[in-house]
Amino acid sequence: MINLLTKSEGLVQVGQRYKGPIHAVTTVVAVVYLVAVAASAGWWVWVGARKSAVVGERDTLSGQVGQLAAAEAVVRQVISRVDMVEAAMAQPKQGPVLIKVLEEAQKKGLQVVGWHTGVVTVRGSSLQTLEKFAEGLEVKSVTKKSDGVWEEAVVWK
Amino acid sequence: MRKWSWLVFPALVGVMVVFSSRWLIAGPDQIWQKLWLTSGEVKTAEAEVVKLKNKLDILNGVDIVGQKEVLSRLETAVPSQRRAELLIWEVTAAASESGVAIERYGAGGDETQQILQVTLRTGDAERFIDWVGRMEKWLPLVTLVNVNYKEGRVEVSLEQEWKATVVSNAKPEDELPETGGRVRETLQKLSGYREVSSGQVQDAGGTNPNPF
Repeated sequence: MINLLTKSEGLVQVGQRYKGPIHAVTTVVAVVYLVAVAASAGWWVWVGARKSAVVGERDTLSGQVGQLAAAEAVVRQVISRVDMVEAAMAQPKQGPVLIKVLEEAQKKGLQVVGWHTGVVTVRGSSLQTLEKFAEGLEVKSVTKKSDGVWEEAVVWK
Repeated sequence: MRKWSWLVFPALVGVMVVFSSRWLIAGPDQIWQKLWLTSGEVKTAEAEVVKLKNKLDILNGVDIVGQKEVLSRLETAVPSQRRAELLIWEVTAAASESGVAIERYGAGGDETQQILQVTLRTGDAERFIDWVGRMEKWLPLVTLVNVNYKEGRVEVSLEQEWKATVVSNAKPEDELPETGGRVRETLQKLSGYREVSSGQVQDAGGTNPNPF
């Protein structure tokens, strides 16, 4: 005959030995879990309320900004026009360059007779003067005219 | 059986954790994920509220009449419509002041530019350079391209930008661009230019849409 009672009593004894620690662990797990669930529920309520408040405020402010559309339109038009004006003012100016060319030519006693896409043509009687004028610049051509005057085309930088 | 009744509590806790965690974490509702997403939406909405408040403060301080005057001043530099007569007036006024003679001019242009081809006759380079300097100091702003000067004869293309004023389609949440500093700086730069007034243009004989 098999003695089942003895084996069952053995398991009960083992169970009784672990009952205390298992209850303690279960209690801790249950408490932590319930706190987490309660916190989540609280968070859910808070976030929901905050969302509806913030979205409401945003919609109100959007409406107020919409009422000032005329002011916004004129501000944007001004900024857009400023961009255009700045772009137009940033275009290269020929005046200051030409004044510099003229000053340099006059200093050396040369006459400016031509200007085309950055190439200046000067005229003078002395080849040495023309060479000085062209120092550091690219010379396109040097020509002696029938009246004995020299003409030089130089790329101005 | 009574001796195992203490296992009911751990079993119940286990069952509760397993089933409710599916609802909180892994199940179709995924409450914690929704909470996370909603928190993100709240943060985004809060940032938009801050932007809108700033924008509202700026817009409440906008002097519409003053801004329209600024716009009008800026439009003297880059007009909102094609004004061929202004460009012709600038050319003739500068020519008169510099002592150069206009041989001929032809107007053209497109949707954004007014173009004028001008031929001038001048005694010397000084007068031609003086004319260039004067042209570049007029409002509306002019760009001189393809300047060709050869022994008293000048051929030049003048370009003048124009652009119609466009009504903004901005949404309330769109940020307002920076205004004050750049506008003041640009107006300051424009103060160094000479302006053609409508009165001057009318006094000079008005518009000649086709000079040839």
